[in-house]
Amino acid sequence: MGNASVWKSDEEVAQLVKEIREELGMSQELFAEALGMPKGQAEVSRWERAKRRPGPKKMMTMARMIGKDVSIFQVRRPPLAGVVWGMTAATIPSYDMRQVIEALGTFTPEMLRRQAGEPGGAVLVRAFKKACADADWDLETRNAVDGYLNHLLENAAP
Amino acid sequence: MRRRSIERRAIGLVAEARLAVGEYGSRPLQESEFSKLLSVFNLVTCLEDLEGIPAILFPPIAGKYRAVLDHGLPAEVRRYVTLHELGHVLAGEADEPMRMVHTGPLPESEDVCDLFALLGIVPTVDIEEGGEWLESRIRQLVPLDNYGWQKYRIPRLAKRLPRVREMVKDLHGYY
Repeated sequence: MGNASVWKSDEEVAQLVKEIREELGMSQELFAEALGMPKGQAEVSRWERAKRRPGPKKMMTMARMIGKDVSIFQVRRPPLAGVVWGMTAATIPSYDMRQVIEALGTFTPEMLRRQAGEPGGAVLVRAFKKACADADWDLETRNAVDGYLNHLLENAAP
Repeated sequence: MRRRSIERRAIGLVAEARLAVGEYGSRPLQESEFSKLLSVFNLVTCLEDLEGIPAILFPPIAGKYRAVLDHGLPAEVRRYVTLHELGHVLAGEADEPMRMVHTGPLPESEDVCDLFALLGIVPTVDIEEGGEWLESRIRQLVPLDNYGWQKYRIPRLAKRLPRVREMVKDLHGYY
């Protein structure tokens, strides 16, 4: 299993957005329009100044505009050890958190963990488990995701 | 950035939906069009006991957006709720970390997605009639009493829907 990918920092994303736009030779206004945001020049400017981050969909589109994929906005992290999403290695049950992150995307496991602790968290995790039921994963990944969700469910707020 | 009105945002979603179904918003969807919409925009649905929540939308899992609908939803309402969740997908709101179960006042985007969904199920003749007639038709078509939904949302939707429907007519040539 490879290392997990996570999004680059705000500043790195800002720099990359600017580089992509300049590589395409577009003004901020034209670039915004090409991204489906007519009158979005101010938003592009905020991205380039790291005042805001573009969403994953927009990052994907920008990468495609220069013939790359979204991974240019990501960094490969070394295998996670020690603290993972607020849990220490000693308390991580049998599932592999790296697989969970690779299967669910970088932000979903953390988002679920946070919301599982709030009122209605158990319903949320149960729903998520159902939503994943037909995902086309190999057995190892399936076990990792189910292990993580079961762990969340055991600790979720009613 | 200047804030767009709820109606304009709903029209933006209609324009997106028209990339898959050219007539979206001009009449209720046919079964095949509904399936095509979900397939083109990668949304799948399933049922689960959500204890009083109509639906929960999740960001892409294994390449697909996933909406879990409450198993107690009447069959005829599932299409409406699914279209509402599709609205969030089209708006790009399912791509970001988000609060998946709302408590407290609903954000404006819920109204936007309601309008988008209603355009896919309410017959044109009812929308054009407007007023109390439209309000009562929405209550009939979307009986969500048990979810505490209608009391607050239907009157304002019935007021806005005819305006949005008029704006849809100007969308010709958009797709």
